[in-house]
Amino acid sequence: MTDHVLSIDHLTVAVTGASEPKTVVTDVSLSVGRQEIVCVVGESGSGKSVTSFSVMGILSPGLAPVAGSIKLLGEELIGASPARMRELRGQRMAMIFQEPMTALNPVMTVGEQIAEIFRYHRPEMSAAQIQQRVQSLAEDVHLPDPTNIVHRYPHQLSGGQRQRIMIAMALALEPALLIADEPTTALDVTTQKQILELVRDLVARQGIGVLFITHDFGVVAEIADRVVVMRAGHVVESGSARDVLTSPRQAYTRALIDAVPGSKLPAAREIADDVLLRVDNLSKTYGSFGLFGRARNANPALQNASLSLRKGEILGIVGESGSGKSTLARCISRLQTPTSGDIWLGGINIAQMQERKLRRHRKAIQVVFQDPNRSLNPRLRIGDALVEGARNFGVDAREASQRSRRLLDLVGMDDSALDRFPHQFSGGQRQRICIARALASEPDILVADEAVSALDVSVQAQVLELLKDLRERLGLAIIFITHDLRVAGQLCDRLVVMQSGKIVEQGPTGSLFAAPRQAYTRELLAAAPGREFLASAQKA
Amino acid sequence: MSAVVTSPTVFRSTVTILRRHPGLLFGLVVITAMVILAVAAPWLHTVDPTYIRPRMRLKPPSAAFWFGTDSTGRDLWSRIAYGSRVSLIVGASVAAISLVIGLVIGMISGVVRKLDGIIMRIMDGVMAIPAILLAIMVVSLFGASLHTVIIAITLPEIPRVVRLTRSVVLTVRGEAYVEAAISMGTPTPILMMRHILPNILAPVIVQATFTASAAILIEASLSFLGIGTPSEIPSWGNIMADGRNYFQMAPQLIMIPGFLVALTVLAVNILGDSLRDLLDPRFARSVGDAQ
Repeated sequence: MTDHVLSIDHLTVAVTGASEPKTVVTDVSLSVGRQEIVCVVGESGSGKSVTSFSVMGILSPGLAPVAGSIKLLGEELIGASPARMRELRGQRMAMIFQEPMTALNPVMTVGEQIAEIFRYHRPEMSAAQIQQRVQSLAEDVHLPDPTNIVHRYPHQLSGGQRQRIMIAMALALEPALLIADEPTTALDVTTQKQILELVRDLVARQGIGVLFITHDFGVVAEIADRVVVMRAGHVVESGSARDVLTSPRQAYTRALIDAVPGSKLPAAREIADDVLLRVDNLSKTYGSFGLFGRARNANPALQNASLSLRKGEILGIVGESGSGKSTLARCISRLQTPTSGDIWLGGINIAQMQERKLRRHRKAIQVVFQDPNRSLNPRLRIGDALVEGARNFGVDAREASQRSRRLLDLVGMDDSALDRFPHQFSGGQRQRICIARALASEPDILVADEAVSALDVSVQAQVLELLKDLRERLGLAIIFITHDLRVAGQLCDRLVVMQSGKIVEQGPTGSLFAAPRQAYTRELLAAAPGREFLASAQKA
Repeated sequence: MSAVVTSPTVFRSTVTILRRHPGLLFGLVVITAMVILAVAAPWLHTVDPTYIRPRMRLKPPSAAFWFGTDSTGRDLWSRIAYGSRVSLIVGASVAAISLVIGLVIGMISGVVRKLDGIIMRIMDGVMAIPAILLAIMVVSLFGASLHTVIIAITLPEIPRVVRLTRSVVLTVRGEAYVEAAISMGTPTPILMMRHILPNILAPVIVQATFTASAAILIEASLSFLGIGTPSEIPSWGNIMADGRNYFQMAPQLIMIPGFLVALTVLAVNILGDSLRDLLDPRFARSVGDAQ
């Protein structure tokens, strides 16, 4: 048992100062050994982050451990003095977070930020020694060109490089335990794959134990030795990664594993050759405008994109951040005006149309946005939000309100929602409302811009089902933008793959997955976490 | 029926809010007291504040003259009570006028991008002129009256409201719900009234309270310098200006109105601070997102 880096026994964390006791983490036990990666899996609100924060002693005020014990290398952490905890953080345990940009100081070079750790914790080290150590850390986390990169500022690095810097900082004092809180969720798939490889490699080389928090069983399949599944503050299942993945004992675990997108490709469907929308050579260049006319920095976000969309078709646009997929979507829905090219909608070119004329055509294309928390007006009741689109296009008030009831029913919500405000709903419910709102003007085309990326996997699966269902029932054409090839594969009839502003490949989902023609597409496919596991699961 | 059920809960939540924000309570109490003083001045043991009694000059406080008399024998208490009207009217009207004008210009600037550059350069120009100098210029051009004083103080406050409004409009414009409304073909005026205005109001209202306190202070300064409210109208600034020469004999002539100006400005500022906490959407949302 002494081999455990971390052992948590019967930990309970509760809200302090509440009139009635309310626990957010109840009776959680888990352990992490040397050279072991333990994944804690659960959806938002499952208590996985609270557990890791308790270990680090950085619980937000209002939360406190009330029972159980947390031992780090045999030393009890609950009740340890703040000074001792400060010593342990960094020296014995370290943590990396989801968004590396906010965790780095923007006005200091990254090398300085690593060096600072040594100056504070290892005052006996000379400047030259520190420099050397910073260098070797940069090499350890496989940063390109380590001698120069340490002199850069955080904004000059990519997301993946920043996360590598965070890992280098976490490992600087050679801790025994690394806690990683969704460290790859904000990253592109290919970068995610590299970071996961790096973590695995560091575990093997340096013998640290890792507590890895994630919501994605695909990531679990890639990296975990052991898995702990949490739900509503309780551990519902734990065991070796292989056992849990192949034969989960709990229905909840099963559901989470099944919710990993891409577990099954849909059968190819027949789609009539009835083109709704054609985009020809669409380009968009962002330029900044100074006080006196046009300024420099012309930077093409989209170059000569051409595609077509047929009635009842779901077209996926896939690419990493910065690939221009969102720009394409925003140009098609005319939230932005393209620099050049044509958008043919029912025989009319709307690419350069003035807003006044455009308003009539907006009915046909509606948008569902990524973040459901921000896409509903916080001060407008759901009922008012739902009738707005229909009212704008000349539907009378009674008909519009009847329609909004029908739509709520269609997206699986009941009428009581009409009188409530957006903040009274969960993320998944809000996204359903957003879809209902988009449908209120009876569009032909729905543009879903990363519409499920902000949702938990199980909710994500429900929303994807809803979109499929809507296509069947309403004959809706959907443009589905995502960075996640697995999601796209599950839903789309045809895929468009984008890279740095250009469409590099397009074709039917099945053939694109089976035989990608472009190296980039192959790379994207290979990077999807949990691919091997899913492939083997499919055969079985 | 529902009113019977809801009114105690409304009352209770008001009490809770006031207990959590003692500043709000302080501000409201002081301002309410000032409003009562201003409105009920004729019935609060006052006499004509402009009535001169040459034989009763610079009397100390007594039962007849609560705060004593000034250099021409006018009753100080009456002057202060009536003078509160000027301060409150100036504070409230400057805040209201600059709020409305600034909100309209700021929203146009934030939504109609073609006009943005022109409007903002004009506002920069107005802001480049020191507020007190602009006020002195306006008053000397149009003559001293309560109206000119209000206009003179309002003018330099407008660009501040415009800038604030524009910046919050730009933030809200980028929100997905505004884009959703645009893609639903919502006409621009409805977009502004329904989606943008309700979501920018909170910071602008907070700004208005600071404008009100600044206006009270500037009015008092202008009057003290003898270029503000006409000297026949009693205002706290005028009272202090009159008392300037007699400070050693009757310090209350400056101390009392000075204290009241400070108290009112402090109360309005603290009220604004508490409103900012209270109207902060992060606070409001954290309550809604509890689960």
